[in-house]
Amino acid sequence: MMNFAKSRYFFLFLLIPLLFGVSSCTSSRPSLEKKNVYQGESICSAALLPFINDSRFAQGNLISQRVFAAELARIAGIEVSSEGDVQNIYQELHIFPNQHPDIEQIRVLGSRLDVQLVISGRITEMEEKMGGSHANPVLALTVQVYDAKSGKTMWTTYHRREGRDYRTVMHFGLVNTVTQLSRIMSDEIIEEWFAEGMKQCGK
Amino acid sequence: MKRFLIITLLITIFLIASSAQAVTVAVFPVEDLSEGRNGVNFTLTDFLQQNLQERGLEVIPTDTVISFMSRNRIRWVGFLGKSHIYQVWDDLGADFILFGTVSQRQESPIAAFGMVLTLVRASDARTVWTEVGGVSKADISNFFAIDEPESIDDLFPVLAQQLLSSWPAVLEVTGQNPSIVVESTRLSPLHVKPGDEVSCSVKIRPPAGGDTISQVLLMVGDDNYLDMVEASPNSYSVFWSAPDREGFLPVSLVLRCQSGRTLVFFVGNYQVDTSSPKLSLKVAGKKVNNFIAFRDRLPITPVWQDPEPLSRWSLFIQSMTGQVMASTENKGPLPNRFVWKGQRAGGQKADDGIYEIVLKVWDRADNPTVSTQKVFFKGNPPIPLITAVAGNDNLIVTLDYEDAIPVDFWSAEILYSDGEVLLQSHGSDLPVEILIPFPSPADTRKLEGLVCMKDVLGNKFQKKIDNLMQLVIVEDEKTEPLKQQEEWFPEF
Repeated sequence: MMNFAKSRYFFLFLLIPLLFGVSSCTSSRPSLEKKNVYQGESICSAALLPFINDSRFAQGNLISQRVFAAELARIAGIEVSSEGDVQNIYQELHIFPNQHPDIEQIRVLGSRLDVQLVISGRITEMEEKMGGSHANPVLALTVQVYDAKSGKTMWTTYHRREGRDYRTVMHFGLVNTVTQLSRIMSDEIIEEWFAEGMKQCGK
Repeated sequence: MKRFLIITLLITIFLIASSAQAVTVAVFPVEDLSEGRNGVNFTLTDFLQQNLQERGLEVIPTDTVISFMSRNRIRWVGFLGKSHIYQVWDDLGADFILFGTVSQRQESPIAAFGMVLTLVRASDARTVWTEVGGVSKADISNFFAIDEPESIDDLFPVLAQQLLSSWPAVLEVTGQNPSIVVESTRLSPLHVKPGDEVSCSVKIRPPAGGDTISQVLLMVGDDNYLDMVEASPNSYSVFWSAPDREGFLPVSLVLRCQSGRTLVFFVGNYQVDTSSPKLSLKVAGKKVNNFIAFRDRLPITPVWQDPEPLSRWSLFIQSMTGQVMASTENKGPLPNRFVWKGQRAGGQKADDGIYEIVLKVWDRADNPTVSTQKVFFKGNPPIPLITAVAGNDNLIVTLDYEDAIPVDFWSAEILYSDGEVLLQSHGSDLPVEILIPFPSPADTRKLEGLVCMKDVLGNKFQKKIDNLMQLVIVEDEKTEPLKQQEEWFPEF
C-alpha cells in the first residue's frame, strides 16, 4: 500500500513538469483583422499576387507564395490562378514585383483572372536559427485578402511562428525547415479563415 | 471456342486498361529557388520523369519541353500562364503538366530539402494535385543512426517518396470546358482631354473546341458599346473620342458567345481631364521695390493649389530680352524645390538685373499650366559714391551709393597713416556726411579712410583711401567720384 502511494507521487512528480512543458508549447492562433465580410457564396477561386519579401531570407517570398498557393488548392479546394497569368497582368499594368497594386488594378486582376478573391502576402520575418542539432525556422507574414469585384480589403491576417512552437515532447514535433513551417502556417491561416466564416468551395 | 472468347476478352481488357493508362504528362524543368530566382534543377526533373514512367505514365521528353519553352518564349520555370497551358495541350499533346519548385536545398545550418509539386490538367488549366514538403537531417533519426541521411542528396529521395505517396490513383483527363483567355489588353492613354483619341486593343485566345465568340464589344462608361475590329487573328482594337464630361470612365471587354453566354472583363478606367494643373511659384528672396531680389542662391518652390500627378515639366530662367540663362526639364513629378545660383548654363555669373522664372507643367492629360515670377539678381557689391569738400574747420566727406538695391549698413574709419584712429562712424542710412577735424598743420601724417558698405542682400563693399586730403583735391577739381575698382577686399 505504501509502495503504491509512493509510486503515485512519483508519477505526479513526472507528469506535472511534462504538462507544463507541453502547455508552454501551445501556439497562438493567427491574428485576423476583418474589414468587410464576404457576402457572396463559397470561395472557389483566388489569385495570389507576388508576395513581398521584407526578410533577409533569399527567395523567402517565393517559398511562402508557392507553398500558400499549393495549400489553398489542397486544403481549401480553391482554384488558384496561374502565377504566369498574374505576372502577365502585372507587366501589362506596369506593376513592379515589389509594388502593391491599387484598387483599380486589383479589380482588373480579379476580372481578368475570373476569381472571387485576390490575396497578397508580405514576409516580415524568415530565418533559420540553429539550435544544437536542430534548426529553428522562424516565419512571420501578413496576408491581405481583397474582394476581386470591388478591389477592397476584406481582411488581413498576421501570423508568426517558430519551428519549436510545435514541439510536443523532447524533440518530437519540432519543425526544422522553413518549407514545412510555411506549410503548417498556411494551413493554420486557411483554417482560421474558415473558422471566421469563409465558406469552403462547394459547401 | 470458349478459349477463343476468353483470349478475346483478355485482349480487350488489356487494350482498355492500356488505353486508360495512356496518360501523358509533361514534366517542366524543376525550378530551384536555392539557385536563385531563375534556378533550374534538371537532375530532379529527370528523377520525377523517371518516377512517373515507373507509374505507367507517358512522359514527354525534356528536350521537347525545352524546345516548346523556347518556341513560346517562356522565360520562367515553375509555372505557366493559362494560355501556355492550353498550348502545351495543343502542341505537345500532354494531358497533364507537372510543375516542381525546390524551395530549399541546403547543407547548412542543417541539411534540408523542401519542395512543392503541382499537377495541372492541360485541357482546363486546373490544379488536380499538389503537395508541399520539407525535410531536414534532424527529422530522420534511425535506431543506432543506421541509414541516417548525411547530405541533401540523401534527403531528396525521402522527400520525393513522401510527396508522391499522395499521387492520385486515377487521373481524370477530361475536365471542364476550356475557358476563353484574354491574353492581353491595352487601354491608352489613361488620361485624356475632351476630344482626344482613346484606343483599346485586346488579344484573345478562343478555346479549342469550346464556346465560340460571336461578338467582341467594348463597353465604355455604363452603356456605350463599341464594336471592336479584328486587326489580326484574335486581336481586336477600337478607337474613340473622349467625351467632354470630366471624370473617370470604366472600360470593359464584352465577349458574346454563340451559346448566348456573355463574358465581361474589366479593362480599366480612363480619365477625362478638362482642367489644367493649378500651381504658383514661391521664391525665397528679399522683397525690394516690388521685386524679389537675391544675391547668390534663389530657392524656387512650386506651390500647388490642387496637387495632381504630372506627365512632364520644364523650368527656365530668362532675361528681360528673352535670353535663357538656365533651364531644366524632366518627366514625372515636379521636384519640391529648385535653386538658381544666379549663373548661366555654362556656370558663368549672370549680369545683375531682372529675370523671369518660367515653370511650365503638363498634367497626365497634357493640360499645360505656366507659372512665372520675376526676380532681381544682384551679385555685385554696392557702388559707393565718396566725395569730400574742405570746410572751415573740418573735412566733410559724403558717403552715398548709386544702386537699385538699398544699403543697410555702412561704416567709416578715419585714421592716421601710423594707425592712430581719428574717427569711427557707422549707420544704416545713406547719404551721410562725416565731419573730420583738420589735423594741426604741424602734423605731417597722412589721413587715411576705410569705408565699408553692405546692401540689404548681403553684397559687401570695402575700400581703403590712402590719402583723404588728396580726395579733397580731386573733389575740388570736380573730377569723377572714385570708382569701386580701385582697390578690393574680398571680405571684411
